[in-house]
Amino acid sequence: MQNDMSTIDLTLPSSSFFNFQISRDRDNDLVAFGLPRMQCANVSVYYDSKLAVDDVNLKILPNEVLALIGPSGCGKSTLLRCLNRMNDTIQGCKVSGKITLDDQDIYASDMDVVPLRVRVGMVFQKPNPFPKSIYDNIAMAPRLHGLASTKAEMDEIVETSLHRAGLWDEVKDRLKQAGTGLSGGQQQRLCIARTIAVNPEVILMDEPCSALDPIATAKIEQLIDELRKEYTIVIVTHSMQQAARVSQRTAFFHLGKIIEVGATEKIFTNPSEELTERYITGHFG
Amino acid sequence: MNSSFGHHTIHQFDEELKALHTQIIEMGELVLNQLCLSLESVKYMDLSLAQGIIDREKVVDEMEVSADKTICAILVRRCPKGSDLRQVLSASKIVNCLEQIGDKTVKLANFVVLMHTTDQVNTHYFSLEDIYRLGGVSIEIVQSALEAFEELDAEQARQVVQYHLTLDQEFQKALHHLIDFLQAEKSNVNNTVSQVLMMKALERIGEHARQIAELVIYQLEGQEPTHHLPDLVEDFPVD
Ligand SMILES: Nc1ncnc2c1ncn2[C@@H]1O[C@H](COP(=O)(O)OP(=O)(O)OP(=O)(O)O)[C@@H](O)[C@H]1O
Ligand SMILES: [Mg+2]
Repeated sequence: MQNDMSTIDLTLPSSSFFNFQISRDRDNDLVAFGLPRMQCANVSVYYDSKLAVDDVNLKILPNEVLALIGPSGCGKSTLLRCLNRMNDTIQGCKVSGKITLDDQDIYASDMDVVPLRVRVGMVFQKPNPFPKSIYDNIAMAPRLHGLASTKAEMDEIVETSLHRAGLWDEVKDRLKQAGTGLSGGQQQRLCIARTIAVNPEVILMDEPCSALDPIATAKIEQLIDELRKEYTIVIVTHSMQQAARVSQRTAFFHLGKIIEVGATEKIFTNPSEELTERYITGHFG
Repeated sequence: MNSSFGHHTIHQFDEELKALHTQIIEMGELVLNQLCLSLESVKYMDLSLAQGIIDREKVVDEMEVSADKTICAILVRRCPKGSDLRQVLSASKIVNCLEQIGDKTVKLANFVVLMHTTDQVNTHYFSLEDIYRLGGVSIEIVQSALEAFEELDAEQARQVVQYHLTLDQEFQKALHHLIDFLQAEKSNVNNTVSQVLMMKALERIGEHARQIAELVIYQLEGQEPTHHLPDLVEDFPVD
């Protein structure tokens, strides 16, 4: 898998169309845009004899939010779990093909899954805080990975993580209380804070808002948009509105296959595939 | 690729899209009718006919408001996507085009009223033949655009876009003809200005019809309407 520029699937208008210069920053942005952070090549996943993901090719670009949509059971969660090898523990689950993170094969025999899961973090559908204090929920993983050598450093990590997850103001006076005592939306933001505390590069989210009210959902979506500046995010969502709101690109799955992947606006206004059209307009089933 | 209001999982959505389509067809029929009558009122300098057109403009406006409401409700309730989204976007713009065509028919009717109030009903100061010819072409274009919309026929819509060029040519021809008319002192400046404005109204009507046709193509195929720059020819520069 090489990163030659010809693999860039962005068509940009030539800068000569504009009578101003595209800024350098933007330039870097665009260059960065072209090189995939993660890449799936011919990935198939079986649960015993059942094919759940069927020969998927997908690029995940840096600093993008990529939404995975598709009917229930089409393999979105399965593919997502492959991206940080969460499927390893599932009995009978067999992954074939190649998945790379910055060109490194994550299924290579010398790949250690613990650091992999630090680099590729995951937020689940149901908020699952540890039965510990809010502080410890965040501090646990950094402690495990030796990211802080002093108490002050750890305090700093906890505070910034909670800040970035938009939770600090709500919990700063009760850091010692149990994380499970927070509301659902707060718990989900706590889990996000926990995920970003170890400075991942890619964040995987599996229906992170399905248990949340519109305001908590809006807060998470705002957070996703901010996190995108530093991280790459892959989100599985059943809400097409949510996919349209938060993502730059959308991939549509059907029966384990990727039917279509493209710019979110394109997918939701004028998809190329009939199947996608039928799904997004609600003509399924 | 068009799902044309069949078989959404939510059946009510099919009904809403169908209702929107019908609403626009009805508005189109009324506007086309207004257009035909306005030309007739000019032809016969028929004051009561002209007055009727002006009165009926209220109905056109109400239909616009009502279609806008339907569009708004669909956007809010259904968050349409794909071809549904394109249909609703097109509908909103087509309603606007129809409303503009309606405005222009009132302009023509107002002209008849003006002639009566200033006692200039003597039409031989006009080269009305040109108005009729332009009017005839604009009626055909509007009619054909509305048919393309009703039948969701991209092929016919493309023909409308093509046919619209005829109207441009007719308009230029009529302008030149009018100048000859003026130079031969068969008309005065007042009447000439009125006539140019009428011709311009008809030319605009054709242009709106062309836009409708392009919106039909967008709705069906997702192809963005092209923006036409006027050719640089030796004709009068008109937009
Ligand atoms: N642990 C498992 N053991 C066996 N089969 C599984 C397992 N997990 C998922 N599957 C099967 O794999 C297929 C894909 O499941 P997956 O959970 O990836 O779908 P999904 O797209 O995430 O669906 P949903 O939108 O409902 O969450 C389904 O047919 C499912 O039954
Ligand atoms: Mg799932």
